[in-house]
Order: sequence, then C-alpha cells, then structure tokens
Amino acid sequence: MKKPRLTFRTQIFLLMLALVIGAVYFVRSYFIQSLTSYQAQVEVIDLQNRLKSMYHVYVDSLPPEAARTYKAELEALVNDINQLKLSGEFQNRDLALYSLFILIFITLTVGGVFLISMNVITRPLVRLQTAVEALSVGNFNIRVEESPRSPINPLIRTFNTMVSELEENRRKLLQAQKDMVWREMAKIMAHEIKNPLTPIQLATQRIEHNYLNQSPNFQKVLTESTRIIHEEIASLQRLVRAFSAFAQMPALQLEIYDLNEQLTDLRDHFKDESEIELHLAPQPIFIHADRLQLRQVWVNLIQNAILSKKSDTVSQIVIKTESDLGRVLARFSDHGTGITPENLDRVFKPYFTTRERGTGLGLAVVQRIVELHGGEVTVESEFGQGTTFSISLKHQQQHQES
Amino acid sequence: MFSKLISTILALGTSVFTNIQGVDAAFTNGLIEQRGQRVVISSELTNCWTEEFDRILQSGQIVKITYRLELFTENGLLPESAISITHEIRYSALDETYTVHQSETDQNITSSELTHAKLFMSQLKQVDFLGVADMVNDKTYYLQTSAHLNRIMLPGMSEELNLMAYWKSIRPTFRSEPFKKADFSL
Repeated sequence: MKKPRLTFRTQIFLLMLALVIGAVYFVRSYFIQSLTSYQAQVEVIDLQNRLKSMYHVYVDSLPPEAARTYKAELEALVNDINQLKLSGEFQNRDLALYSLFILIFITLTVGGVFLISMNVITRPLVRLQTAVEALSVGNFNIRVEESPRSPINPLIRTFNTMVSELEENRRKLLQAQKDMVWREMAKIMAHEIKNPLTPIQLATQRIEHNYLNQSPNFQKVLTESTRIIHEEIASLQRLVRAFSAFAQMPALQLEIYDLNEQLTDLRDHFKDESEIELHLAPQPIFIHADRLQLRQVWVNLIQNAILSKKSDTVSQIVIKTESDLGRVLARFSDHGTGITPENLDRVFKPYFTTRERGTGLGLAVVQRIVELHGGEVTVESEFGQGTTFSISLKHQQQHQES
Repeated sequence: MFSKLISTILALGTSVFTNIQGVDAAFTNGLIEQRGQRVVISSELTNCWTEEFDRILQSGQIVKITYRLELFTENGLLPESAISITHEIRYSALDETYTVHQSETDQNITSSELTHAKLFMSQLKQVDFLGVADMVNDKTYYLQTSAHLNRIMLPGMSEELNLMAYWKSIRPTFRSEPFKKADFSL
C-alpha cells in the first residue's frame, strides 16, 4: 500500500506549528516552575507560624490595651501572608489554564496567518506553474495575472515579459523559417526545372538548325529531339506530381493488418535493387493504420537507403520489428554514406536534399505520415558508416490477442 | 497595547474556561411557622462548601452570605415584604477560632471547629420575618428565599474573586408552598 505523502506546504505548516507549540509550552512551563519554586520557598520560611509563636510568647507580658493592638497588628499580618499564599496558588492555577488558552490562541492565530501568507505566496506560484506548463506545450498567449500584495509579482511581470518576447521571437523565427523554406524550394524548383529545360532547348535548336539547313537527316533529328522533349516534359510532370502529393496528403484509411507481412512483401519488391535482411518479431504485429500510406513510408525509407549506398557496393538494409508496452518499433538500418551531424536535424524538412536530383520530400513525407498515425520517427547516423531510422507506432493489442 | 491584547485573551478565556469546581448549593428543610403573632422562617443551605472555599475561610478573608427573604402574593411581581440577612465569618489565625456574625440576632458565635462555623453560616433559625397581622385575608402568599456570596480581593490579584463562582454563579433559591393568613392563628 502506498504511503500518503505530505505536500511541502503541509510539512512546513506542521513544522511551524510544532515550533510554536514547543516555544509557548516551554515559556509556560518555565513560568509555572518559577512560581511553584517561589511558593515552595515561601512555605519553607513558615512566616505565619513564626508570627503566631511571637504572639503567644509576648501577649501575656503586655498590658491589655497594648495586647489588643499587638494582636490586631499581628493578625492582619498573618492574614495578609495567608492570603498572599492563597493568591499565589490561585494565580499558579490560573496561569496553567490561561497559558493553555493563550497557547491555543497563538497556535490558531499563527497557523491562520501562516496559511494565509502561504496562500498569498503559493497561489500565484501555482498560476505561474500552470502558465509554464501551457508555455511548454506551445501556448504563447498565456499570461499570468498578478495578485494583490503578492511578493512574487515582479517574477510574474518578468515571466509575462519573457513570454511576450518569446512569442515575438517565435513569430520572427517562423517567418524566417518560412522564408528559408521558400528560398530552398525555389532553388530546388529552379534547379529541377532547369535540368530538363536545357535538353529541351538543345533539342529545339537542333530541330531548327536542321530544318533551316534543309538537312537530309532532318527526319531522324526531329524524331530524336521530339523523344528527348517528351522525356523531359514527363520528368517535369513527375516533379509537379510529387510536390502536389506532398501538399495534399489524403485522409487516412485506417485498417488493422500485420506489419510483418507488409514488410515481407516489400522485401520481394526490392529484391533486384537491395539485399534486405528481415529480423521480424516472431508473432504477427497488428497495427491500426493506413496500409497504403505506411507502405509509402517503408518504400521511401528503403529508397533512401538504396540511394545512400556507397559507390561500388551493393545496398544492404536490415529491417527489425519488435513490440513492447503497447508500442511497435520498426528499425531500418543501412551501411551507406550516412548523414553529417549538421544535416541530421534537417533531413525531415521539406525540400531538403543533398542529392543532385532529389526532391527533398521523401523523408518529409515519412515524418508526416508517421505523425498522422500518432507515431514518431527518429534518426541516428554516423557519417560514412550508415544510418538507422526508427519508427514507433501504436500496437493493436486486442487484435493481437484474438 | 500588548497587555490589552493579553487581557482581552484572558477575558475571553475566563468566559469559556474556569478553574473553579462549583457546587450546586440548595436550600433544604424550609419551614414557615408561627411564633406568637410573628411568622418565623427556618431553612438550611446545603452543599454550599468546597475544599477551596475552606482554604479561603482559613486565610482570614471575611466571607459573607446574604440571605434574601421575600413574601410574594400568588400573581405579584414585586414582593409584598422583604428582608435581608447576612452571615459573616472571620477566622482568627492567632486564636485559631472562627467567628460568625448573624445579622438577624446581631450576635457573634465563636467556634474552633470549621464544621460548626460553617453550620452557623448556612443555617437560618426561626428568623423573624413578619407579623401575622400584616398579611391580608383571602390573599395567597408564598415565600422565596435566596442567597448569594460576596466578592473578595486577595493581595497580589488584579481582579476581585467572585465567590459565587463556587456556586456555579447560581443563586440558590427556595420557593415555599402557597399559604394564607388563615393558616396562622391570631
């Protein structure tokens, strides 16, 4: 059974209460002890009985009138002593009771003041904590309200200023990223469009030249040049389709199927281009996913591995699957050229590529599809040694059991 | 400022807590009888002493019980007749005797025994209350007897001690059976 843990505030409160009670109890005990000690000393002196003895010793030797006065004086004195003693006892008793009352009063008062003070301090702190949590999940509109007389108001003001600055910086950063992406995309597009345009331009010039010179090979030149133009136009069309597909990701068509089976099929599909080694979990791994879109993910990863193979080597890919704690993990490892550390953070960014004729969309599509499935994709790479992509997805546990 | 605060706390404390163990003092053996042409009253206050009370008596403080005898008609709000009697006790520490003064007889009774002295304090013996002739025919009367204690001031104490606290601050009161003038012989 789990022991209930006291909050920090409760611990402080209990400690403070114990200190106050201890201090007041100590003072109370000290005064009671002092008074009792004083009374004991008075008792030892036994003044009233000594006065009584004095009276009896001298009364008979005095004349009647003087004896009466003597008696009255002594009696008043003895009465005063007795009453003083009684008064002391009563006060001692009252002290014991009323100090207990004062103890309760002080404890309640200090406890109340402490709780109110703690509340004044901790309530804004709780608001601040909530705001920090909201900020951590990307809510930059959050602001913390100041509390009257709170000692942490300067901290709250600083936090609010910081959030405002963060929001402004984030906005600028987003704009800068957008600009950068557009620039990169424009550069890639320009490059990708320029590549087919050059053969097209050369082909048209060749046709024109042969036509104007009435070349006997004109028919042949026309046929070859037209083929080149068609091929380059087809290349341009593929490029446009790839961009269009990335921009318009279709809605997920979810179904439950065996991931191991899908990966086994893919190995056969790529058997001419790569040696794919499968280390699949012994039991079927059922996932709730869009079969076609996930196939695109695996294809992109395999193609990426094939394209990154070192020259004069055969592409080798190891695919591992495992399931644990409701998650499915698929790992794609290759022994290719690897990724440089500075490029590792950028590989999933759209339009980022290090290849001459790449669109920079393959891994961006992978990340997008995996995230649409509530999964996560990570990459580890050692430049010159190889790369491993890990994809984590939800496991369809019930289906597996059935 | 601080002493005022402490006094306020103590005042609040005394209103809630008390150190004094009170007793339920009560009148017993109430008797209304005729002595000649006078109506005389006898009664006794019982369960009215505590150990602490005895120590106050032995300290030489004068302790006074004031008895109030009132004659009411059946529906009357104000008494038709009333008298007050005091029994006062004083201890002599040198003689070790108790002297009780009873105002109804204006006599001092001295005893070396506290028990006897307390009895003299708490007993009303044939106190002359009123003449039979002073009562009106056809009226129904009843007698109400009550008692209260004085306050004392002990040296070293800042406030008087109300001895009524030993009776739980309640005046013991006795109300007789109704009677008429005709119940007495003229």
